[in-house]
Amino acid sequence: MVKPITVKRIGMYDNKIKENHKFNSLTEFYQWLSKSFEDPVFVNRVTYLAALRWKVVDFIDDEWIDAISEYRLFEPKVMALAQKIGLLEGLEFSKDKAKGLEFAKKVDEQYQNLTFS
Amino acid sequence: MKSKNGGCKKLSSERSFEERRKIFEEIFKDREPFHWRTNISYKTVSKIVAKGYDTTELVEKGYGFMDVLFLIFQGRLPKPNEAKMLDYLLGGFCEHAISPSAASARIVASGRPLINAAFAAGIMTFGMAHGPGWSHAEIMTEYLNRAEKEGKTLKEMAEILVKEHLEAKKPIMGIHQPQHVHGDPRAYAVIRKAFELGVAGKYVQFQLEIIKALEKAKGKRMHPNMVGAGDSVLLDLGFSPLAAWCIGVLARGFSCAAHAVEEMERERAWRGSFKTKMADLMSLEVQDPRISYDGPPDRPVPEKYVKCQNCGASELLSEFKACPYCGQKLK
Repeated sequence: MVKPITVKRIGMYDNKIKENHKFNSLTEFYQWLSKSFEDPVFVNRVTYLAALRWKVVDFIDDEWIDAISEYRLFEPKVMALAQKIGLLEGLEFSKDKAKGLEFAKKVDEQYQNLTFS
Repeated sequence: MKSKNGGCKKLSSERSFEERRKIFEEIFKDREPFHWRTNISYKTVSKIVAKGYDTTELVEKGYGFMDVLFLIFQGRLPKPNEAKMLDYLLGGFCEHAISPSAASARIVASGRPLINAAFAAGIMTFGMAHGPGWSHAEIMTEYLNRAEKEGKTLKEMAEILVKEHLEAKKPIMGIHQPQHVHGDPRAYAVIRKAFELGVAGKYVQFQLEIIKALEKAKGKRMHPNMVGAGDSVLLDLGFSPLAAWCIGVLARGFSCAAHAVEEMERERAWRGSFKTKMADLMSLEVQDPRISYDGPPDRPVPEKYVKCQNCGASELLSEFKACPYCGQKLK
């Protein structure tokens, strides 16, 4: 199952919205992040957090990423998946961007198993 | 006969009102008698007035708790965006599940004191590690003052702050939360909201510069915690460092109270019963010395006193060389 994620890129100090997107899955969201930002740890962290939190705010290079995600999955299950894939090495995010894609795809496939239950 | 009041001929109760009034005037001819001084509020028989506003009129006209916080701490009513920011911040800060403050409130509540003692104990945990709002404000203010004196930009001063703290191996207040290692879920949202609502000022901007400078120095992002985010916002909203500290702590006090109430209403007192399904906090199993004790092994208590074998005198101190009663040499 997939869920929508909306995201804005906003200037850190001027509050100007630079981009506004709506994605239909975590995989699509990841693909946009990956294309837009070079830093693999940032991309992987934001992808991971979007699987968990409704509101995801982070910044990079004087720019806010302000996202609303409908995933709201249960962290102990998601963390176990992320560690199994290697997105998380212990508690540190991988520097391999490809791990984020693998994680996002698995989350979209296994959504039901990753909810709080 | 010597009087009971230190040499005076009469007790004060034996003096007439007139006599007492004269003495009073004599004592206070050069000094004012004590009276309270406050510019926060006053009350009379029929009303309570804070900073000039009748408090009932305030709430009747739609002002709420956040507005009153601005009023009593700063002497002004906030703009709507400022009140909204404070509401957002305190709403987010109020609850933080089991933390040193909530756990303390619960443990104290388990002894069944008056409940105010339990949540007071909770907020007493705030200090240098848990919710160190005061330390954060102190450091921010110190370095911002330095920036002004030395003509440095926020970015330059943030780099100095980070360098000095890393060299001294001192923690940078406002950064890192031991449980939210991927970033306190509230912190960036609070900072972002401050920009969105147009209340972010030099403190919030300096906090961001510290995060950036630390990331540059360490080669990885260290995220702000709720003190770093929240305290910076409170300072930008115009609260003094002490006021900001108090507001944060008291907001968490509501959570401590909720935990104390739940503890009293749901859990057994003492938390040490053998009858509960779950081994509880104070259960003896949890304290089994084989897993929890690493002090000296069991041993006999040394005799505190010695007895004289000659005269039978007992309770003699062990350092005595001879019996003080008969002179017999003691072992």
